[in-house]
Amino acid sequence: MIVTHEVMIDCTSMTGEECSDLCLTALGHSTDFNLKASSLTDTLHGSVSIIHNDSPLPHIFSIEVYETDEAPTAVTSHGVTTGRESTLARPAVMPTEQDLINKLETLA
Amino acid sequence: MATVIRGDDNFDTSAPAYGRVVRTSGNISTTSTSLVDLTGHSITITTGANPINFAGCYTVRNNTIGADMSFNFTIDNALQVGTNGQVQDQHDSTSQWNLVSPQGQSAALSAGSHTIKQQWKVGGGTGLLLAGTAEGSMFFVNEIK
Repeated sequence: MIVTHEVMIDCTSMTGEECSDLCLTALGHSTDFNLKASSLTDTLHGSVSIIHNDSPLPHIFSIEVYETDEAPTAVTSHGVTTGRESTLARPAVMPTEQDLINKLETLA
Repeated sequence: MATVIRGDDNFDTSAPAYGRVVRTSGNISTTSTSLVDLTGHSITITTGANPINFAGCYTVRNNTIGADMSFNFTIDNALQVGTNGQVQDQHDSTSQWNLVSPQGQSAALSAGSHTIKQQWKVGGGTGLLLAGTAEGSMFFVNEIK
């Protein structure tokens, strides 16, 4: 499931990563709903991509929540690992599109 | 070999097609470990039966040391640079900025309209690409004639 939504956020006083983390927290980022890998081999339930538009333009969010499980695609050749090392998994509790939009709106 | 003389009806006098995206309205981030479109970095051009060059110029970093950022391109939804892409590793410090210029050249395309997109992903953490008024991003495509 991919949800795209726009929210007015002023993130001029923080870095892009800090703004992204703020948005992840609002979306309920946790071990049960993992949206960002803290290690290369994490199990992830989705991802968040953000265009951090400067005011007066809104931030544009693209939230992907994985609906099916996918094993890693990483391969190691001559000591070099390429591909995806993370595991993608459907969350135990699948949020609705409106759930995610409501959570993003708390950032406005 | 065909001989082409200026003035010949078969001589292609049209200018090569090109397109570019310059973003300065705000940075872009992702936590995706699978390739996703680098939003806004999409160009549609109409070419002859010729190859194209495609490239991006970006300042990027990842807030997790050791996490890769991979860049790939699609032409009409077909990946161009392997299944992963061209890789930049965040290997010294999370505050280190990296200048990356992913690029490539296609084989000859069919004549007609083609959409070229930039995609990216991270190995972990959050990838940040600068695209503000001070450090804009650029993505461009040129037909080769």
